[in-house]
Amino acid sequence: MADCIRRAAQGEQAACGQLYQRFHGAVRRVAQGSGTLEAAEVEDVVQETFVRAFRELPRLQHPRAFSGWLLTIARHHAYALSRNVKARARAAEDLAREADMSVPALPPSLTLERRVAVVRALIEGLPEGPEKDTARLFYLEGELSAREIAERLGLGKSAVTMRLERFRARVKRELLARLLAAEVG
Amino acid sequence: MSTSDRHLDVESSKQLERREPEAVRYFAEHLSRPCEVCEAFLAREDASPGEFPGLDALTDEALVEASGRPVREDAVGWARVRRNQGAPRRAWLTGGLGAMAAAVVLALLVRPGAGGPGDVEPSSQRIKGTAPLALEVTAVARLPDGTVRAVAEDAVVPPEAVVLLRYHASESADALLVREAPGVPPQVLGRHVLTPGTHDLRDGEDLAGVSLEDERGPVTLVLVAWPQGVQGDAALEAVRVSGQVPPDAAQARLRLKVAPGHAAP
Ligand SMILES: [Zn+2]
Repeated sequence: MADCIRRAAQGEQAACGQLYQRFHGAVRRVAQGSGTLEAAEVEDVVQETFVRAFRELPRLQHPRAFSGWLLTIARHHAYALSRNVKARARAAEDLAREADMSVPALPPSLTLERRVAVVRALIEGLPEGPEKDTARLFYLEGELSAREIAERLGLGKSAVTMRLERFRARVKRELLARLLAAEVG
Repeated sequence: MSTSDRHLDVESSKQLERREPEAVRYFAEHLSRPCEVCEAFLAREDASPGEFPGLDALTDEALVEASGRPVREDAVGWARVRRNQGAPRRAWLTGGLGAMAAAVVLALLVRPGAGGPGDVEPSSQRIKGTAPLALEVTAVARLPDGTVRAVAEDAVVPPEAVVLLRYHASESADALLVREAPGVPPQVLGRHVLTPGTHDLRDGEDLAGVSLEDERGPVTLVLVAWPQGVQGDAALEAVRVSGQVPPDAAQARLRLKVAPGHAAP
């Protein structure tokens, strides 16, 4: 993968294509979960994210930062589409910063595998109810959009988006605790 | 405020940013259990840029990987990205050629009408150069709902379609896929290596799809190819430097008309 990212940074289309096929689902998922975007807008976010990422790729310092960086771009584009002008300006500012983001080595408690386990455990740990159903359908089954989940559960779309945001904050809280604990040693 | 009800806020997040040991120790412990106040702070929309750098990325990576679902191939989206990236790409136009020079090269390269309409067959065009390389293209259109239809010459296709080409080449060849439309310079969509026989046009492992998004009216896809071999790289270099097409180049063209609301026939 690191080699593929380096070749894509040199403009090699086949490598860009491989990255697109590997990550378009993840980018789409971020866009679908972070706002009240219509399906066509989600596809626009996917487009803008990859076009921007391929353009800025030569600036990325570490290939291992690629997926996190890509998803950060996706999140910013999704926010920019769904929020106000001020949020858009800040997204642009944030993006400039992210490309230079240094990537410290992650503590063992934060490898991707461990983080995925955290997500699954947090979903398992939720009390039975619409919040758990929403998180399970969106993040574990990973097929339905927020709109489709709203239809299935008989909820408003904004209620689903709010639950997803709340669950995401729960994951952030747990991961931040691990980041800080690694510093305490 | 007693220490037991200290929660994340703008002030404490700054302390954490400065790595103040006491705050780091306190929140490492406090955040290891669910806390609605702190989670609400982490979820707020007006977070300042750079707050807890990398945390969003770590979180999103984990969330999107949690399902473990295999990702389906998305030829439509990839074709759109390629279009939006803009052509020509430096992947093949190395050596400092700017887009302007490239456009001139291509104007020389793709002479309108080369091959002549007399050679055109309904859905498969055979246009021979002066040399033995024989080249044909056929096409299918993939629509957003996943259906795939054959595309005949002069077919009307909707802008949502992605055109996938299939070629027949009599021998190994270097090829360029070029898009022509009225009023704009020809645009190189990709460089390809053709192998003898009938194959899908590929870009590495992917199908080379041409997105018709934002197109209206007539558009022609041209596959220009010349025999591969010792002179293959030299031929490409000649195209770059002087705009000279190898004399044994062959072209296969597919004319389409893009109009909304039409399914491919
Ligand atoms: Zn708290």
